[in-house]
Amino acid sequence: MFNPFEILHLKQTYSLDQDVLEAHYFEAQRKTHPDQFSRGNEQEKAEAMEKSTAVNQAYLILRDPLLRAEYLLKMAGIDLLSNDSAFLEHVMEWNERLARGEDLHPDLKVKEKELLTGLENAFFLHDHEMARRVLYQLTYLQKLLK
Amino acid sequence: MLLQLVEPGQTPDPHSTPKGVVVGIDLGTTHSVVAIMQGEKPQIIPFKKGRSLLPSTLSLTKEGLKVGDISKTALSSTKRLMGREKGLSLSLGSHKLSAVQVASHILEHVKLHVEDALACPLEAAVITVPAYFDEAARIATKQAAALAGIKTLRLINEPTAAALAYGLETGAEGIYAIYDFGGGTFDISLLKLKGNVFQVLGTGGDLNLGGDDIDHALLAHHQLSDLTEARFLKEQLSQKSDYEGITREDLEAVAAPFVKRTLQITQDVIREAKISLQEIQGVVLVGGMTRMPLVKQEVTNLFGQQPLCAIDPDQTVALGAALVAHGLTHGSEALLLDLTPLSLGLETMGGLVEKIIPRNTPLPALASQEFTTHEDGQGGMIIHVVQGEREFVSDCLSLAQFELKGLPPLNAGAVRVRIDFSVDVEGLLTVSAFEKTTGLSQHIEVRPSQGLDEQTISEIILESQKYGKKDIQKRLDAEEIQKNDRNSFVKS
Repeated sequence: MFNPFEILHLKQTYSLDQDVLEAHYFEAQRKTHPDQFSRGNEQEKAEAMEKSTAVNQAYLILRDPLLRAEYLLKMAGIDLLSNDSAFLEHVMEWNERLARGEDLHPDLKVKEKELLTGLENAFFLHDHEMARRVLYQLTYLQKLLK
Repeated sequence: MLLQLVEPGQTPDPHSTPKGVVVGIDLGTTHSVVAIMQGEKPQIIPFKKGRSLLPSTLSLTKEGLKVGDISKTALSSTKRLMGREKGLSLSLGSHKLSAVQVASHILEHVKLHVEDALACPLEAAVITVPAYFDEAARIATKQAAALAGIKTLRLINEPTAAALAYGLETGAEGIYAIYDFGGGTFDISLLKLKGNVFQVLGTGGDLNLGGDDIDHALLAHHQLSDLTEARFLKEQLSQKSDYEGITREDLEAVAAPFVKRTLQITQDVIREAKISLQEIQGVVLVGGMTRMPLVKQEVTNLFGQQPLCAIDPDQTVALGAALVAHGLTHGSEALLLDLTPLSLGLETMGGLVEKIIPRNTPLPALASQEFTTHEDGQGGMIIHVVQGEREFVSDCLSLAQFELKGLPPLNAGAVRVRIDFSVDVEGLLTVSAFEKTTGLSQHIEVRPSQGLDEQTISEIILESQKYGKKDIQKRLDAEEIQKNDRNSFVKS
């Protein structure tokens, strides 16, 4: 089973310092990157390619708060939400304002920050129900921001 | 050269052959540069008359084909055609050459020159390519090296090489922007330098934006006899404010739109990497175009700081390549973490592109996607691999096309095929396909990097026409127009 925390030798928690993540990522690449095995035999090269790829995949998941949350919820056996009626109010309000030609970007950015803090708190409190609701809202919000 | 005679059935002892040198080669659009490690530092191996730059040209003389002449009839800037030509040939007298062949002549010249200068065989080389080079252009570069008898240790991106040379020279740490404006291409890369790790955070560019374009525009706007004169004028006006009645303001009026375009790309890359301008510690200038005062001024304005010019902008890339060549053969503390410059994807229904590996994914990379059949009893599936950022296949570069045959005759949507994309540290792709619905697993592996010779390309095209894909012809027509466009950069 692919475990990004294990691959980067990190404790399996949501809360993750970006500098620590980066240090672990660099350390893992130093040990696995194919350039470090350029003088090795074919088998060593193939292994390096595979391991270094896994390190990159782990890094991509862990550095993204949404992917990290998704992974942790999956590991806890929690299904992701596919809709949230309470959030619909917000969405309708935003749509109305968009239709009026308002620039929502600054407001959405504030909301995003608020939700990211909410996600952190949910995991801190081991409240998976709240975590999956906030994750759903964040996913929606990021699509809107794009 | 001595030939080693071997009795049939015997293989020579690999350890008995003398080990050659490894070098870094910057195979540039207008100039090529070669460097080697001397003790702790990389050094340029000068060409004749102590010049560090070899014009990337090929001309026909009484003695035959000659590299490095800047006569009016010489082929130049052919790097812009790398991986773009599909059967196109350049004429030089009675010779018909492809851009790959021109590059191989230049590389062979470099090889012979190095061997002559160092009295030692050239064993292998690290060759630099623009970060924004696509798969086809990267493969073409490797083919040119192979034709020249040079083993490619590794392709490396030019800005990454420049950052390495700069970082190791100065011990710089933090986030740096490498602004590389050369004769034919523009590249911008953002790198994080930290304790000998060189992590590329974002990269972007334009393969058809360089000093050559300004030469062409100058030629069109002023009464000049040819491109050589235009280039000379451009270089003069970068040092003086006036030359033979044409002022620096005249040059800048012509150059401004091109420079503006580089700044737009730069801003896009910074935004995409989610980095603020304040976080950028320094800006390193690479490429001949950065000598133009207008370019320096605009870059200074954009970043709000003076760019760094600690190393000659023409030499930085080759010096970095020499460092990598040494590192790969002798071990190194430096670690390069690079990215995919362009998204890789597959054609889906309606000529749309499904991105499998988005641009700016760290390398090596692997990603998978499952596809199903859309017709009952569909026996095969055409896998069309493309590269680019656009939504439609017709706007992207086609890398390879193959058919997965013998799928189980089930209802639409019942057959599941998994496609794997794997990209190595040089940015080269391998595509694998698996069909496991019935337990009959089918596995096919395609490496565009090994199969993109001209014959394969024409076969792929024939195949696709057989399947009645009219869009392919449309695309070929469009490509033909582009090809002719690009061809105008080459003197004949």
